[in-house]
Amino acid sequence: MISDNSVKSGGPAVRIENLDKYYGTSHALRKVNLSVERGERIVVCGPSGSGKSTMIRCINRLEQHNGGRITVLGTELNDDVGNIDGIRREVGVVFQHFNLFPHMTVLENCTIAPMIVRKRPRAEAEATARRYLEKVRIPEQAMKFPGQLSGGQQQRVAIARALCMQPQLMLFDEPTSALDPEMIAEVLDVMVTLASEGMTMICVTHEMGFARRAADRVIFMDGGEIVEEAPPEEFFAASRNERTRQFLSQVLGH
Amino acid sequence: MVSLLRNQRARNTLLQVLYVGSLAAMILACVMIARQNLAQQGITSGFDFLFKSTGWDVNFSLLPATANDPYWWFFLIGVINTLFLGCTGLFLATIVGTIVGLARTSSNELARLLGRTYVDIFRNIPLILQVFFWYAVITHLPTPRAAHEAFGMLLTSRGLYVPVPNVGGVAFAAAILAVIAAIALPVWLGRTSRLSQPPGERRGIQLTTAATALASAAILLALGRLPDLPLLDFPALQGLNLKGGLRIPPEFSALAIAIAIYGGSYIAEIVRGGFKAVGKGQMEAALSLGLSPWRVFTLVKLPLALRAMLPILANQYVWLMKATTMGIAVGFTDFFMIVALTINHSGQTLEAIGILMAGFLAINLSLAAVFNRINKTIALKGNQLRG
Repeated sequence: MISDNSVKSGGPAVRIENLDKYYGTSHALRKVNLSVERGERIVVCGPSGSGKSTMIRCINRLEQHNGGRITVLGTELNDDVGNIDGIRREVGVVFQHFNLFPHMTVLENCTIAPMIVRKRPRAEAEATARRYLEKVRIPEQAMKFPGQLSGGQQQRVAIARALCMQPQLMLFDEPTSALDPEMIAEVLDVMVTLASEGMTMICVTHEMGFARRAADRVIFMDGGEIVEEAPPEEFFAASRNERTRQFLSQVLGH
Repeated sequence: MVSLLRNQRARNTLLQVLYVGSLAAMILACVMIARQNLAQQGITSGFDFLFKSTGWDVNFSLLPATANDPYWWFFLIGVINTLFLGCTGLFLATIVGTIVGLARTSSNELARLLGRTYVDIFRNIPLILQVFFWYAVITHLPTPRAAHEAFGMLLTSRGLYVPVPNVGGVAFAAAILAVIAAIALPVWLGRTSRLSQPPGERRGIQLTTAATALASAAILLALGRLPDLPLLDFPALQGLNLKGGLRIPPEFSALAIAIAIYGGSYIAEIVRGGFKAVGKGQMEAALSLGLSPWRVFTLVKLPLALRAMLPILANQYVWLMKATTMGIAVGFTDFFMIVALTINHSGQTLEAIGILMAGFLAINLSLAAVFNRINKTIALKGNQLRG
């Protein structure tokens, strides 16, 4: 039963085919197709309401899709609870509002899931957590509570918490949108490091500088559809699409 | 002088002095008028009456009571009855409130509907009517001859009869303390030694402690056992009446049920609010880490909801504790009723009411203090971002 649900290696990290998603009567995603290879870094951008967050939230079932197929790390995402659990174990998510557990210390935030889900002994989970806190450059905050940290620090803890599960794929849902400008850089630096180490990443973000530095492919969404996908140089320099050019002029214009 | 009156600090000081002065004058006047009136009626004020025997009886007491006992003993009985009723009511109301509150936040439509109907009905009927209603229901139960029986307990129109152990009072109280220790000590040990000992060893110590405490409870019961009697005293029919066991009078049951059901409807709303206050984001984060829905509930949702609930819950508990004074409506000898009877029999109105108010203040301030303490210990540290 366990081997049935375990996530297989080989094949693309994520394959989305003809994905449809409705909220009531509004059609949030219209026949979206996307394939992400292992080790690939994807940046998803687009105007608000274009369906980009919905799409990545479908990848670990925070939203249930209404049509089409999603295959994550070789496992199809369907109503099988075992599949959902298996995928969630292997996919780390970083949210816009950090969503740390405010009643646990930073260290407990990072060790709770590895200890319970992966059955790691406490000492091992704590050692791993301290290693990742070091990696996101806040080892000294381990015993503090999330509410005692700045927004940028909280978001870095959130990244460390996701990494502690040693995921094969990381999803970032507008990780810098809730941060003050001076804290955006510290979070993006961590994400660039992560990208340079070969982590498979799908990032919904408006940080076009990050897209230029770290992305293999930029995807532009509008009205629930993928309008354009291209390597960053091509995307920024020579977009063929009118809507893309309009969006870019708005985010890059000032 | 004018400039002094225009000075803000001088003005504030003057207002304070006037306020405190008039308050003191009012209290002084009240005391003097009361003394004069009492003297005219030939009533001696003072607390000497506390040591006189009452000459009347109470219908329910956890302590031995006769008409020869002094007033202070009766006041103690009243306080204990109030605490017994209050604690039973709060305990039951919390269980009812948790179940109904969870039903109201459930994703199941039927559960939500039932929960809402419950709250709408019982929150909007005055408590005193509910007390009368349950009292009427209980006093219309079958007579002792046709009693409903379950687990050695008998349910009749004269009350609920439960078996009690034939054990001396002191030994019984000590045994109860030992059982509480058997639960509390391992929890406490688990918290204090969390980091210092390996988990296997810690579990061993916890189990040994619990076993020792339970064994000492058993020994205490055996030692305190009354000679020549069976260990448990079961109620049984003798002639037309029931003998043996502890009789829980209909008055008590009616009040406890009414407080549980009425209080439960308020607590349900507090529980619902607490769960609604937990950010959706935290739950999504927990699910994304692969934690099962049950773990998400126990590790994230419940601890955060409890923190949101506790301050309001403390208020509700204090409120329900005061609701025990409904005892007088059906004739349960709670603290309030004892005081009312005292006033009738002794005429020491002011003193008795003073004792009543002081008693309730002490009970409710202690309750509030305990909750404040808990609140402070578990309060979330730092600034909380809503999102």
